[in-house]
Amino acid sequence: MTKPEIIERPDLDENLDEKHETDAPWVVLVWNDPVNLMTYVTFVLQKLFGYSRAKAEQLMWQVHTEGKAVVAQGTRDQSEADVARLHAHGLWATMQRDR
Amino acid sequence: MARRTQWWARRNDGKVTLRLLPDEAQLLVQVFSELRTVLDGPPDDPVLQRLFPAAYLDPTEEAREREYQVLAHSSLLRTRLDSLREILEALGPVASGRKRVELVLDDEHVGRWMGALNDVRIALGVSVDVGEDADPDEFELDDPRRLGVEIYALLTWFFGELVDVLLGAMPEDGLD
Repeated sequence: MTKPEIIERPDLDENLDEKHETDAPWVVLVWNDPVNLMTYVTFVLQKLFGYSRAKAEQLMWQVHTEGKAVVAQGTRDQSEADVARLHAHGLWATMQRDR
Repeated sequence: MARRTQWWARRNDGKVTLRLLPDEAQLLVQVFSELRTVLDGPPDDPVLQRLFPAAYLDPTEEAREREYQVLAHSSLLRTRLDSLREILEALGPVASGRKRVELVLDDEHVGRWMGALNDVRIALGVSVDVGEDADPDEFELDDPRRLGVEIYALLTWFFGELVDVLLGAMPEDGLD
């Protein structure tokens, strides 16, 4: 992973920077692993995120063929909760800033 | 897709049934007990690294990652140990019995079985380092890893049947 780029912007007011930090969207990724069954990944994505079968299968295939897929996005706290639920289901999930 | 299942089925009232022979229950007692030992063992075990993964890959989030691990690890560990205790209690009489037994599970129990079964597959998969298609025939008969892969393949079949039953009851449409 690369570090998020830190850019000095003295022209920006501090509050704006802070607000940007708080509101910056986060994405939750699920990574491919050799253990989890494709049907199980589909089931977990439907169960946790309420996705249709078609959407859950599309994300599952993306994980399988591309190695990872963004399965959810939100604030940092929402994303941490999503990651925790995915970990509780044995999926290999991480989160990062959507930049 | 309706097909005959060997172990798992969904009843009309929504409950899930699990039909097990004593020797099948004995094998499950063995693998679940081994998982419990690993969960109580040293934290640097690669199985534990996989069962309790990092939330953040970004090294600048190290402090937040530590916080996540403190919170998530303890609650996840408690859930896993509670599930194993409950399942091992249910399996005990089946394993020491003489005939096939049908267990009736509500949603909460099914969730615990699903989690615990996937956990043992992860634990075995990490320790025998299986690929996508674990095939016992790829190992020589005297290879000590062969038994692990055979058990893994059997658990995958057993778990896959449960997932098919649950997926079959899940609606096709969603919120997306």
